[in-house]
Amino acid sequence: MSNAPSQLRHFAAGGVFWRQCLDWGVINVPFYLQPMMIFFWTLIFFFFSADARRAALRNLAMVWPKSSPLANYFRAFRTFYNFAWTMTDTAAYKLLKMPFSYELIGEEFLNELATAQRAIILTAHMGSYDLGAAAFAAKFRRAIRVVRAPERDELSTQHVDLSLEATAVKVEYSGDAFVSFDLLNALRNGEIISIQGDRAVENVAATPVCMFGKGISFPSGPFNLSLAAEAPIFPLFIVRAGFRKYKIIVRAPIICTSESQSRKEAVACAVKSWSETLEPLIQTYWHQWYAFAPIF
Amino acid sequence: MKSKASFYFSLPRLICRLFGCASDRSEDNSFEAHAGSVIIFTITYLFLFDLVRSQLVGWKIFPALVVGALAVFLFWVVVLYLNSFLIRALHLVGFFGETPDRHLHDVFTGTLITLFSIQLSISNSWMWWVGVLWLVFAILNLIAAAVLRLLDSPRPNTATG
Repeated sequence: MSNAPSQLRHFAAGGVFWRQCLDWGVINVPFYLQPMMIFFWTLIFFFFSADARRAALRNLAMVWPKSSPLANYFRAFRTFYNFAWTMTDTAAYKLLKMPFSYELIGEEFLNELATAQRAIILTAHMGSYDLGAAAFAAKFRRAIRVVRAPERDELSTQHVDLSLEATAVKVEYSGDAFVSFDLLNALRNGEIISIQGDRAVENVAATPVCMFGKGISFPSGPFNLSLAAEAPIFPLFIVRAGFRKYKIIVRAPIICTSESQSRKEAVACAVKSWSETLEPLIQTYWHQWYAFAPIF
Repeated sequence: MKSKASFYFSLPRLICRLFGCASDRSEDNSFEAHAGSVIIFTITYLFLFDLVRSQLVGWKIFPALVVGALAVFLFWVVVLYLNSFLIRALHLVGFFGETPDRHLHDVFTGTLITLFSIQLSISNSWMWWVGVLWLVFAILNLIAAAVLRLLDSPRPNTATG
């Protein structure tokens, strides 16, 4: 009886049950039925995932301050719809090795990243970061360590771990006590680390900054790591550009250095650069900013 | 240099070949994916509407149209789920072991939609057209599949004297 709430958690919006259903759908549903299925499942999740919907609406209201709430409702639905497609594409890649095409924007920075001795990829909850990390690991034959917040459902976390590790990607969780030391060691050993830097979670050091004219906090961890390991930070985003098509956008690296300033100032300066990189990206690809938790 | 296009259905692949382009079979054509969904949804929706339209009068018709859309979606979820048992049973008795499950679902889906289309094609309303159009497409697609099979089959060696 005491297990009942945790059992029910598997059926919540982020629960493992739905991930298993998605896997089943990818294996069984003919591809020409998928748009219909995805549309209706999005409607259902949009209706029942009230917390995620409210968070998306709140975040979109910051991106579109002059827009009507009704228009933002449609925008939030479009964001959910894109998220469903992204999840499906990731599962199709994982389970069926379904090919997807991608266009590179900022190829010179991607080549720089691939040849860097150590580097941090800073990304956002945007497009398919799982698919992108897997594609990067496969293309450049370099190990990549992805840091992510744990899922609410433990079995969901295991499900994500298994699917990512099948693609030469190691997973670390931001809540782990010794994760910073592990990451620093990994960087010093020449690994590439990928971190989502658009949301500061509880009990994690954060630096205040301004985005879309509002005060917001970004996690300081990636910038502290960059300082400690002397590793450049590459802003990298993978956005969906159509049916099984993606765009990989790489921006100029952010160099975090404390040579001529204090450590705190160096981090604040790098966080500001990150915010200036992220803001136009979110402005353009707001429909793929999967910020389903309050950010502002 | 020949341009290359990829389609899933045989008819566009054959048309493509007739116009001199190389064409692969793939599941990444956006138009086919979306058009397929719209066509399957429309035929199922019209079939359902045709079944119940005699009972729909006055205001009842509007909520029924909305509920019908959701019913079509649920119908396909249930059908695919039940089909998967049938496919498992076929695998157990040794049939289609090498064929991916989604391609077997493909056959069941096509059969079901064709049955709905036959029903629509004998109805006394404008829906007749929808049924007939699907049947024409299904027949042409089958013919195209046979032609492509013939074109792709290895030719026997001919004796030269």
